[in-house]
Order: sequence, then structure tokens, then C-alpha cells
Amino acid sequence: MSHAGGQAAPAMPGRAVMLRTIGEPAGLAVLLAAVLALPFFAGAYGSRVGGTILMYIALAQSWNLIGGYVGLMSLAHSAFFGLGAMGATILLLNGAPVLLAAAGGILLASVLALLIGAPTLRLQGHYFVIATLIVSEALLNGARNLNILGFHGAISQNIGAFTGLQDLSAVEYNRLFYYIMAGLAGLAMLLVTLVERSRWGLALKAIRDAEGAASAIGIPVAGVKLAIFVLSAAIAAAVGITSSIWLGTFDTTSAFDLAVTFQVIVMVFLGGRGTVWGPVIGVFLVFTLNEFIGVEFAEISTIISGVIVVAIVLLQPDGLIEVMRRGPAALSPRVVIGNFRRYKVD
Amino acid sequence: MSLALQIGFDALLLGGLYAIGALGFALVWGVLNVLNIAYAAMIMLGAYAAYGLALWGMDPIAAVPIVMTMMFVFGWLLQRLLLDYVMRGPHSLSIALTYGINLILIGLALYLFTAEYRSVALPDHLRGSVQIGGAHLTYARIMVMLFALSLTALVWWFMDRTELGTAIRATRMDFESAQLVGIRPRFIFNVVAGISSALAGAMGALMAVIYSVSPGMGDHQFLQVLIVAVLGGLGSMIGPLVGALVLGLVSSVVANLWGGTYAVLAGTLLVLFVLAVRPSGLLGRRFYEA
Repeated sequence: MSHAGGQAAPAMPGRAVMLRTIGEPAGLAVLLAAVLALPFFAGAYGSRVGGTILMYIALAQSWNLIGGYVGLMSLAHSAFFGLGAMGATILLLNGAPVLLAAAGGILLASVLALLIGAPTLRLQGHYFVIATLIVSEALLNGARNLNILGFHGAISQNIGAFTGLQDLSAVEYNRLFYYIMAGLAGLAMLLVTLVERSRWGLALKAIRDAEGAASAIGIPVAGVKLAIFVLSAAIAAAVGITSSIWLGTFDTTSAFDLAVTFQVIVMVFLGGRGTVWGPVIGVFLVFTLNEFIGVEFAEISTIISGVIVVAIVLLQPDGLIEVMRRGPAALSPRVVIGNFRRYKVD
Repeated sequence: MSLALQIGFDALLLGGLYAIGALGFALVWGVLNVLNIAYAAMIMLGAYAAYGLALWGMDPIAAVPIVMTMMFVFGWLLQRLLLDYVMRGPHSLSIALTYGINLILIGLALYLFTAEYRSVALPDHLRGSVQIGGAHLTYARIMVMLFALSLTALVWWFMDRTELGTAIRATRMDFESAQLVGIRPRFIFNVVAGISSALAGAMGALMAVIYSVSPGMGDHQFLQVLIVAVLGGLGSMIGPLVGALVLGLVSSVVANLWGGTYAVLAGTLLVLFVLAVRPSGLLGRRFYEA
């Protein structure tokens, strides 16, 4: 399957490089400071919203690793999110300390990612996509029917009392989870940046763009795919664990909800798959839109998000990151019409 | 004995419905290499169209061909106006596009029809039932089963015996060579998308006769369609039918013995097992040979 997303060369290389070397570290430092300082200005509610945005950045970037860079359209992300949370819940219910429970949840999701990835990653094309979708559905149904060690999949489990965090005030509590989510988002961003700038990243893109050729020049395709699949699953699990402990309850249906997977994929596509900043743009775009549309008209917001997905895929298939990269030129009619016709069948 | 017969009839009924659904889905997958997420919404649209026609006083079974015609036009236009423009891109692009279309259609259905469950009022001649060996079989179910099976036969005849069907198979086997002999790929793509949408509509319309209609109904059915398509494999006409009967049988045995939630689980485990053993499905072949 060929991937024709071309990188645009900057108009003035010299100036662009200078801006990169000076502007980028400075900009990053400001951004980092702002992210770290936010909970002290924003209060409990602000920390909650900020933490949720960071959570989606972590999820989007971890999906971007497998979906954007390796080009594998995995629909199992919510399954690993749920598996991690479920593993941690079972351990918490049995008296494990919270950090051990989290580690156990991540381990459970990683082992299952290994078991699921090994056979499914061999499947070609849409078979892989469908297999991951069916796996997610099977795990959701399996978890719903699971009754072990005091865990009952059919009901909502209260885990707030087992974490030892219930004495914190609302502000402190939300601040704590904000920073955990910030750490996970930072980790995911770091991984994506490393992938973008290392030989590893080149190997991933080579697998995405020409799997046969990648294999021929000595890239261990199967091993690399499996490693990234498990890594991506482990991050999703860590986010799922944090999210359910933050909520104080574990509910099987919402933890394994496939809608999370699709929402994350939409964010990555809107911003730009296979890029460092694209998914971040996508997350902010979706959150801003939800803020404008509101959740009280669920039908209208569903229709509008559908229209936006269709419009971006047809008119800006490399994502809105193109507008950042190339400036307003990326929105000119000529470019947009060119994008529209790029993949047309004759 | 009567339980076994009842299970057998349920399997035939479900199998017939899933077979036409999976046939339409596998057609677009095989020929256009598109994983059409909006297929879920197409099933739902077919069901609402049948519901609407039945409200006007039309016989629900006689309404199915009309629904299919409407859905053919819908699928053709959707392909021509939107999907044709991502056909040569990476396949994740067409998945994202059909996901967006699915959102729009389901949102529209929620807006226009609300989330309320509705059911078609059956005319008298579909209401009765026959008893065969202690198993109850309603007339509606018999009609749905017969319709689904004859539709499968019709599609087989079309793909195997007509010139257009041959052109579709040729496009699937070898895109470039098909172009060389004068087949216009865009026309073939539009026809296939139309047929696929018509089959989704038929599945939805037939489901409306025996089950209830709601905006989310397609999502659950879509999973079953995927399972059947994978079980049967691409590239054979009889594949979806075999896959559907296997899934129908497993689902109704498990549902009758342990309950409905385990039926879904059994279906998914079955398909994962088949994929692990035979990655191209039970009857899958590399090339399309009807």
C-alpha cells in the first residue's frame, strides 16, 4: 500500500533552520512551563479539563505510533485502555498498593498485546483492521462476563476507597492526576519525537510506505511491528489505569468503549497522522469544537463531527498540520482542489 | 428434538440475513479494497426506508425491492461524489472517510427519527405461524428466509453469468489488465458500491420485518457482517453463505443454551480461531471465482 503524503520543503531553508534552532527550544520551554503551572491558576475544574486534554494527547500519540508511523489501522486501542484499567482494578480490590496495581494493569495489557499482536500483525490489509475490531469486541464481552477475585464485570466497581487517595482535597486530587496525565502525555510525545528523529523512525516509515522493500533491506518487519504495537498498548493501558483511578470507579462498558478508539483516530487524522504535533492539534480542535457545539445536542454534534472528518479527509488528507507547516497557502483553493483530486480514481 | 429444530430454523434465518449483508460488504472490500464502516448506517437506512414504506401501507416484503433500488442510487452517489476521491490513497483514508459518513448518517437518523425503537406492523398474511416438529416458524420469518436465499442466488447469477458481473470480477482480479480491455474502473466501482449498498438495504429492510428499527441497530449487525465476511473469506460467492450459516448456528446454539451475551462472545472467538488457522477465511481464495 503506497503512501503519497509528500513533505513540503520550506521556502527559505536558511531562515527556517535558524528559526528551528532558536525558536524551537524556547517555544518548548514556554509550553512546558505553561503546562506545569496551569493547575496552580486553574483550580479543580481547570485541572480536570486540562488533565482530560492531556489524557487524549497521550492516547492520540500512542495510537499515532502504530497508526500514523507504521500505518497499521489498529482498532484495539480502547481494548488496551480497558484491559489496563481492569487489571489495576482487580489488584486494587485485592488490597494491592496503587503503584503495584498500576504496574500489574500495564503488564496485563502488554502481555495481551503480545498475544493479540503476534497472530494479527501477520494479517494483510483490512484483515488486520477487522481482527483488531473483533478482538476489542471479544474483550469487551469477555470482561463483561468476568467474575474473578471479587471483580464483577457486569457492574460498576468502586475503587476510590482502595487507592489511599481519598483524603486529598478536590484541588489536590485533580492536580495530582493532572500531573500524571501530563507525564504520560510527555512520555508519548517524547517517544514520537524520538521516532521522528531516529533510525527507528525511518524503519517504521519504511514499513508503512513499502513493506516488502523494508524487509529486503534488512528491517526485521515483524519484530518492529510487534514492538511498537505492545509499546502503544502499554501507554494506552497506563492512561486507562490513571483515568479509572481518577474517576474512582471502573465500568467495563465505558472502559472498553470502542468510541474512544474512533475518537482518538479522528483526532490523529484531523491534526495529521505520522507527525509530532498533528495529533496535539487534533486533540485541541476536537475539544474546542465540543465546547462550541455543546453536548446537549448529541445528534447535531455527531453530524458536525462527521462532516468535519469527511471534509478533512477529502480536502486536507495530511491533516491540519499542513496549515502550520505551509501557512495560509495550504488553504488556497488551488492546493485544496489539488488535495481533493489527489487520490481520485479515473 | 423441537429445540434442535428451533435452533436450526433460527440459524437458517440469521444465516440468510447475514449472508446478504456479508455479500454486499465483501463485494466492496474485494473489488474496491475499501473497508466500509458506513455499511452499519446503510443497514440502518434500509430498515428505516422499509419502515417508512410500511407506514404508507405497503407490504413489508414487497417494499424490499423498492428499498434496494433507493439504496442502490444512494450507494452509487456516495461512491461517485465522495469515495471515488480516496480510492488511490492509503487505505486508512477510506476507513476514516466512511467512518465520518457513518457518523453523519447515524446523527441524521437520531435527529429525524429519535432514538426510539420502532417496529413494522405486519399485515395479516405474515402474522400466522406453522409448526414443524414442535418448532414454531412464523410466516414473516419464512418469507425473510426465502427472500434472503433467493437474493443470494440472484447475486451469484449476476456475478457469474452476466457481462457486467464478469467485468466486475475482472476488475477485482487484475485492475490494470481490466483497464486495458476497456473496462472503466470508475463505472465498475460505482456499480459495485451501488449493489453493496442495495444489499445492505435489503438486510436492513428484512431485519425491520422481524426485529425493531433504531438508529443504532446497524452497529451491532455490522459486527456480525464483519465476522461472516471474514469467516467466509473473500473471493467466493458461497463463502458468505457458509460463514453466515456457521455463525448463525453457533450463535443460536449458544444463545439457546447459555444466553445472548455469550452468543456474541462465541461468534468473535470463532472468527479469531479461523483467522489464526486460515488467515484468508474458511473458503477464501486469492482470486474471485464465483
